Amino acid sequence: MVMKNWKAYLFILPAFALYGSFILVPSIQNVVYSFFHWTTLTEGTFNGIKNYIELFKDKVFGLALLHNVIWAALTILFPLIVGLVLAVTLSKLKSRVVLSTIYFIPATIPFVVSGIIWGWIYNPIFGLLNQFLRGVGLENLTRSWIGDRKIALYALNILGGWTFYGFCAVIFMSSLQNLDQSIYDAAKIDGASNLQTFFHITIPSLKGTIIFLMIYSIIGAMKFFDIVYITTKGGPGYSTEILGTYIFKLAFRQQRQGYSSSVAVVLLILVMTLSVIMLRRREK
Amino acid sequence: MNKIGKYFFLMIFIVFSLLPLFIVILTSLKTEKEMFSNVLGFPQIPQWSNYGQVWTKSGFNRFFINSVIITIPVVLIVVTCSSLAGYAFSKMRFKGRNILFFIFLIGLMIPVPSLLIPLYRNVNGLKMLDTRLGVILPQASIVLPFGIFLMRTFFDGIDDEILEAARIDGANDINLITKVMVPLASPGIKALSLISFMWAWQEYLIPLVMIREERIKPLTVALDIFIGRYSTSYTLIATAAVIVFIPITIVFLITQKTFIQGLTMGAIK
Repeated sequence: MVMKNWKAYLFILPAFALYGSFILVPSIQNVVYSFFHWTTLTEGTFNGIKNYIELFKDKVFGLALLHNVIWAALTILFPLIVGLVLAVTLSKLKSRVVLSTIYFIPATIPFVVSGIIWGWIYNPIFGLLNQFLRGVGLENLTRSWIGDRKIALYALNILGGWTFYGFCAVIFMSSLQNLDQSIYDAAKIDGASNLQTFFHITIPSLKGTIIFLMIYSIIGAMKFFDIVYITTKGGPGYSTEILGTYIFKLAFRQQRQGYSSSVAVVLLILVMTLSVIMLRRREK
Repeated sequence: MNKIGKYFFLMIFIVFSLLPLFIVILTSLKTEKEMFSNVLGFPQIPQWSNYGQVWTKSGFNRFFINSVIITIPVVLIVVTCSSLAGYAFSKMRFKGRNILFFIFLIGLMIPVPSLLIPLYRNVNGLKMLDTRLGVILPQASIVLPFGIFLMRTFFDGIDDEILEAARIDGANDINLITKVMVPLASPGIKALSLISFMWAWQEYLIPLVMIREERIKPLTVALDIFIGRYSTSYTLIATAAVIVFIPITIVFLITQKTFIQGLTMGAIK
């Protein structure tokens, strides 16, 4: 375009100033902090890689990381697949706009609110889920869903899925609309079944969208915080501890800011690496 | 899948989406007694007074205004900065364009929890702890990468020739932007306003860390405190919860087309 060069920088400046001060610089500061032992907010001593050595021995850190990985895997398994199947089922219906809007509503609910509601659904005494199980004669399945170490993380993941599957459905739907209808017609003439067209045409042509949503889910699974902090604060025990809550607790409850920074740096590196690997995939 | 199976499948997820919200809305209109005796049923006499109590006595009118005071500047900052930068990245040629854009894109991947400590220290250093500005600026910065990405994609879809024509007609840069680009980009600007409004309204972690003073807390954080304080009065908690989510949900329902277009524009390319 004809506009003069220097004006472009002027256009970018406000965004860059903000982004630089509140995102970029803190990311770098974080790396620096992770090599210090902080006694107060302003005074620290250089600590070398001690924080990182501790990290490798820290069982809670390992557990939290594992929970993030489980969360990512489950997110790809439930909201993504359900979203895809819903989008395909909806694609030829007249009611698709209304229905996809309904499916999307949970995504508009702040996590604080969804945490409260699902906390009630899971409540061992008056919770809807247990009442339902009693009603259909599955008394022995009733339990304290988010108070039970073995299943708390999975119960919370359903909550996470509730807020995310509609988003996936909507994204899949609009990329389905961009697909060339003639391929489907050709497949039909060739006598392909619905299932065959799904696996051989729909999935391959949605590859880009699938990978996009996988990256989105993985990044989301690595950085989420609200759901867990509001419902269980990482408990019972460490059964729902994730990196986000661990970083927060180390920094603001235990005043171990240097160590907390080193956890944050590992989280940052993990997310970046995963994203780059996935993006490369998408390019291929 | 046959037809019945199809509809059954679609129905299940309608229930899955809406049932939790029905429960909380119904609960907000019940008495404490009814809440336990009759979880799913409608309230016998809707207790609208619950809303009066939470809104005025528990100060949710103030928290509501606090959320508005934080959200509006975030939206304005995000929309202005993203439109300018998105325009530059789409329509202007300059040195370092790709690298700068890539630097912004990295922001999409940075987890907010990993920035907490430096952010807290910097905001403290700027004497902005316990101020609304200390929440507004970080929140806007977090949304910026998405905004720039969205606006660039949007401007990419606008033909250069339209700009050329306006320029030949003698429009200067300012005119070009206000008279040509802004009207053309208005669907993108609308979508970005809605999405950033939703994210700003939902934000919990940043105000949780930056604001200690109850006077200026937004709804999300206030709700969490409210639960701690009134842990047993479920109907009042439900009422407070409805006050927190209903504004976004209504805005979404009214504008869902623009909203979803904006979200998908960023996703599918």
